[in-house]
Amino acid sequence: MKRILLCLSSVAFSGCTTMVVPVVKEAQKCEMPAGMLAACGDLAAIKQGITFGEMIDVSSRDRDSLNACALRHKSLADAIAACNAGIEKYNAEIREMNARNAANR
Amino acid sequence: MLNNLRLILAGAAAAAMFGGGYMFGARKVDALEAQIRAIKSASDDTEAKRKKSQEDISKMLKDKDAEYAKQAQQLRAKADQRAKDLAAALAGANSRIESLQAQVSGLDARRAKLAADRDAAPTAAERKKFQDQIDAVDQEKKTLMTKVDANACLALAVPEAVIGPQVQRR
Repeated sequence: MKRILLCLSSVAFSGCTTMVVPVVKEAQKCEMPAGMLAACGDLAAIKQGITFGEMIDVSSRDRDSLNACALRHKSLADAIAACNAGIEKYNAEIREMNARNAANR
Repeated sequence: MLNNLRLILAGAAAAAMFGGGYMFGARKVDALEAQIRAIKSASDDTEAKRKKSQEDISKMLKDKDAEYAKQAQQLRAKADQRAKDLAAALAGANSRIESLQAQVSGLDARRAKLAADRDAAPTAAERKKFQDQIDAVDQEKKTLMTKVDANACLALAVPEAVIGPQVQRR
């Protein structure tokens, strides 16, 4: 009797298989290039007794530094906007897929 | 004999119960398995889309970085050229002053000759003609001297009262 029950049990349990349950995936990453994340350059130093000629040089260097910083800022802003657009495109696809699945139920 | 019959009957009953129960339960399990398969398929689809999207984003960022690097390089090259031009212009102040002063000396000599001509002129009309020329030379000299002063100013220290607050700023 016990042997028969054991046999039936083993047959019954053999029907139990596992199925991989989908897990939540990581979100999209927007890893900005390191060059775009650099801080703006320091102001050029103004020494005591600076001449008018040297002051023009200081002003010129600060202008160049500002130009470089403005370019970096603009590039970073462009990259973030483009990245957000990429994520939004992906999200729109997911929304569309969810809507399709909901309609099929 | 009776024991064997009971054993067979019990076995048959157990088999029948197992088979019946399995068939009854399988109806729901089939539906659940189909649902899980659908979920897994949707998940795989989503994962494929996520990977593609991430690849697109990474490529876009790489392109943006390359574009930025190119523009930054152009900006640096222009800045370097401007710095060289400015250094040359600042270093050339003394030679510009010398050249301007030579022109001023020429104007002084011309003015002295015109003044002598004016003083020697016999009529008032001629004296006025020479005086007009002297006035024009004086105006030209004033313009030259302004340029001399501007070039000479480059070597002068900015007054402390003006530059002091800027020296502290960082």
